[in-house]
Amino acid sequence: MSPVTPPKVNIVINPPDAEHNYQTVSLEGEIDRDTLPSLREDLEVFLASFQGTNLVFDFQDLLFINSEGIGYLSDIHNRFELLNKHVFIINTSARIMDIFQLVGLNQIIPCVNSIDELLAKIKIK
Amino acid sequence: MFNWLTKKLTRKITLVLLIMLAALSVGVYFYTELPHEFPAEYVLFALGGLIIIFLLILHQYISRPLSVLTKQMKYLLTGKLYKKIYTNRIDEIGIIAQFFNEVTENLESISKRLKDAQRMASELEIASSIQQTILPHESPNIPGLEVVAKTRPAVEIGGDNFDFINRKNNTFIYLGDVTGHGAPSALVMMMANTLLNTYSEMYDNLYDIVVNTNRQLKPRIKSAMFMTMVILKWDQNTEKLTYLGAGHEYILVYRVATGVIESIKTGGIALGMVPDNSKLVKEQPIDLEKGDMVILYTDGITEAKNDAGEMFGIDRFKETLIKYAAVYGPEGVAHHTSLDFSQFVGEAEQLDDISLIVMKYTGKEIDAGSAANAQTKTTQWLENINEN
Repeated sequence: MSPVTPPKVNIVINPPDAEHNYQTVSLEGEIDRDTLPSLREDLEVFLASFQGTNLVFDFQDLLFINSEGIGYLSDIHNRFELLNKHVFIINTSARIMDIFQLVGLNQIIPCVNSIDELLAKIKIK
Repeated sequence: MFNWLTKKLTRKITLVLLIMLAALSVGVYFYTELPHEFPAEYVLFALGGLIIIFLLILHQYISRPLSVLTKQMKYLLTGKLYKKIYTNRIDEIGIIAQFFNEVTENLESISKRLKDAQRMASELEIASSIQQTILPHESPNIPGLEVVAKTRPAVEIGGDNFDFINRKNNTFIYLGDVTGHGAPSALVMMMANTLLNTYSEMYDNLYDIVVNTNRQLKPRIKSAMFMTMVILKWDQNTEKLTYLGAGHEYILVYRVATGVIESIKTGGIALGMVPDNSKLVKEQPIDLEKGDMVILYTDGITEAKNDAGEMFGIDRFKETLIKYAAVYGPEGVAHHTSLDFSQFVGEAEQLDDISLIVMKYTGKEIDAGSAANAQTKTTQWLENINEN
């Protein structure tokens, strides 16, 4: 039996882009039953202080997300909609995009390849 | 200084002895050095009195408190009603009394937690049995289809759910997976099951059943919860199969003619994710040839990891299904797949509910071999060959 490295998730909060009115948060690692509670705890602190209108999740280094993680993203989206704020997802790997498409998350949260594509396709106000 | 004296019993006793010795010395001094008229017996009386006072002090400050302590300890050990010991003493007896109080408080707290845990376990058992009554215990006999379902929750109660609902000439078969597992998922699952059963009595198409179920479910569940689902409608007259996806895993179709598995994206959006899914879901047909198999599953199978952290994965799952679909019917495919799955996962903890439904299009005129095999098939997930 080989040792299993515990999965980890990191949150990288980038400075807000005042010109285009968005702020990017990168989630790195694996979001699963073990990592979700700490991720939620840390992310809620940021979300409570988030003053902008558009939040962009960068999933370039996200390796895995389970259904509870997707539920949490959907929850953030629902809460933002009530405040007339918006959530976007960029840089999703094909595997994770496949999961989003299966569940239908991409139908409520716009998912695009890059921030340039996001700025070009979707009018961020 | 006072604390220094009162912290140790030996210091207290030494102090009393010193005071008594001093009194005795003064008495002896006065008796030998100063002129006096009282007899020597008085000195003996005084000495006896001092000894009695000393013994009384010993009894009051040591024997009696120790007796109280041991009495309450006996009560505790023999299961009788004991009392807390109140004292301001900071010496050894005070420490023992404090220790006794803390131990009994901890015991009471542990006892309360044990009772709470027993009550919760009992409630979970009730919830589990309610859930078990909702989930079909046996795979049904459906004209034209041979169906086998297997499920196992990760804990006492789970979020995976399925049902076979017969309405006139239609049979609705659904498999759902609520986010997470345990009691919250089970509650959502039971709501969804009730709504699907109710709307399937009102509508004969999947679209209306699912749109109305979602409309009722969404306001009743937490924002972070949802249920992925795929629902099939089997028309027994026309022998046509249609499906509607609500953000579930792929529908796998084993084509008997080619021996390959076709993956159909279920599409749609998970139930409970948006208030109105009417523009996001669609009922679509699956064309089947006799002998083809349709496989539904939850991600507890594909995302299960072994001790090395390796996932079972969709590719391994499909390879396993192809291997057994070429040889066995639905029961054999489900059984051997569950064995391979269990072998792969090994001793690793089951983190999610697992469910598998295997259906074979047999046509109404089933052959004699299939008829002979038409026995009751449990929906329990089997772990080894001897359980079958």
